[in-house]
Amino acid sequence: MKTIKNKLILGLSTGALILIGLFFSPYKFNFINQNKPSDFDFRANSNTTKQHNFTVQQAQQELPFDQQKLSLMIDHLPEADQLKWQTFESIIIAKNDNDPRIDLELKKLSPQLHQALYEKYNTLKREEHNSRGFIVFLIARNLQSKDDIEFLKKIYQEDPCLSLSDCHIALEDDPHHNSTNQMTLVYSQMSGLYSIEKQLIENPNRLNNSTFRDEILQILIQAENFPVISVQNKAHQLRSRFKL
Amino acid sequence: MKVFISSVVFAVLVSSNVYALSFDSDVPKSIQEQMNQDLVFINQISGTKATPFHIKVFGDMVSGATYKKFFESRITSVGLDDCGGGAAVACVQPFFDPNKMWLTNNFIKFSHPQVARMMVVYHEARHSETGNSNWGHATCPRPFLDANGKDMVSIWTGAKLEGQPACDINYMGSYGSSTIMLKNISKFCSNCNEKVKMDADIYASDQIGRISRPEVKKAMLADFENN
Repeated sequence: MKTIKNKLILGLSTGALILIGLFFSPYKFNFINQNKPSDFDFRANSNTTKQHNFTVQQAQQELPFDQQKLSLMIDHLPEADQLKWQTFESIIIAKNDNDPRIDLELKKLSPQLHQALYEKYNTLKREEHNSRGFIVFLIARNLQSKDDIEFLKKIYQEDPCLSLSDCHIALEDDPHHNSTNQMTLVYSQMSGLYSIEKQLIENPNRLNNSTFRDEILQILIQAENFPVISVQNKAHQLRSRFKL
Repeated sequence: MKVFISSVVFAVLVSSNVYALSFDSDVPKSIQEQMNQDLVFINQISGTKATPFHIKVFGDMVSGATYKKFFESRITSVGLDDCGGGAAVACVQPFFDPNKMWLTNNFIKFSHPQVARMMVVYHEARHSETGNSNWGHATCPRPFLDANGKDMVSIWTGAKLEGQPACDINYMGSYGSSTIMLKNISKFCSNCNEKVKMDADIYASDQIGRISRPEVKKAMLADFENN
């Protein structure tokens, strides 16, 4: 009986010592810090992802995937264009948006390279917003032909992308950063409008050419019909600014 | 000797680009690499000008050194979390650790332009400031209307922003400071290419929409246009 009592006292004393040690430990807050924010559930706006009830049927059309056609086009490019194409591809892979070659080597591109860029745009997944917007930027800052105009008009005829993870499905989003996310969803469309704006600011005389003026107007009218208000507003702003 | 000096110069250049940032062991290498690459991009920015609001928030002209100092004085470690789920790419929980930022898998999964990703990172870094009550957001007014008098809503879910803690009434907060940073990069960065300048303008022009006091927004627009 005495042995049991001694063991009990020893056990309780050890437990008490451990608790005292933990209480005065300088590392006690590290235990808290090792938790991740998601371990706790007291944020006011917990944004658990909920799939929305609706999907947009129109958005289910996939863009054609024609990698083979693109490879053939690249094979038939002149050597200088092939080098530029390699530069373009390496920038996309590296995800370095501030690569100086974007301005030094890719500012003036041949009509054949423009054709390859249209094709590349179509081979990219719709969720590849940065790469697709980059292609639109390269075409729109160097508008050369009716094909360029047609390419841009088609950007504003696309079905809108509904969420960053899947263009076909609208997901509820955290209001904290959803304007950034929503801007990325229309990055291709915005990239086109901002590039046109810069071009017209730098060279307003281009609008004296009635054909060019009409082509820009057609693009902006198309953009005003794109079903996202931020794109409509920007297109409207450009029409007002340049009296189109 | 020449080789030695070149090596030292190279080492100094490389080390000046490296942020003093530690990653938790569970942060995937791909996320660590993207974060480091993004911070190197910011650190390489050069410029000799800035607007008065930029100087007030960041203490100096547009430059990588300015932004590096701002970030490093607030964030020293990075962990992995889902930040509440949804489309979040980053968050801070300053009550647990004011110097830690959490990144989500969306950081590399989603195809944001580099400038947009960094805007979120610097926005969150601003929230880490315990001394300024973490620059908590203001509740968006009811109604919260855009320039055309229409409700500010989530484009696809239709959820209104009114009543949500997703606005700023001061240009010094997270929305204001990240808008000022991007607008200044767009205007004054001397070694940014046209894409980066355009991206900075696109996202800044959108972000200013979260400033809910018209007089503050007007002052910010004047700061950008008059300087």
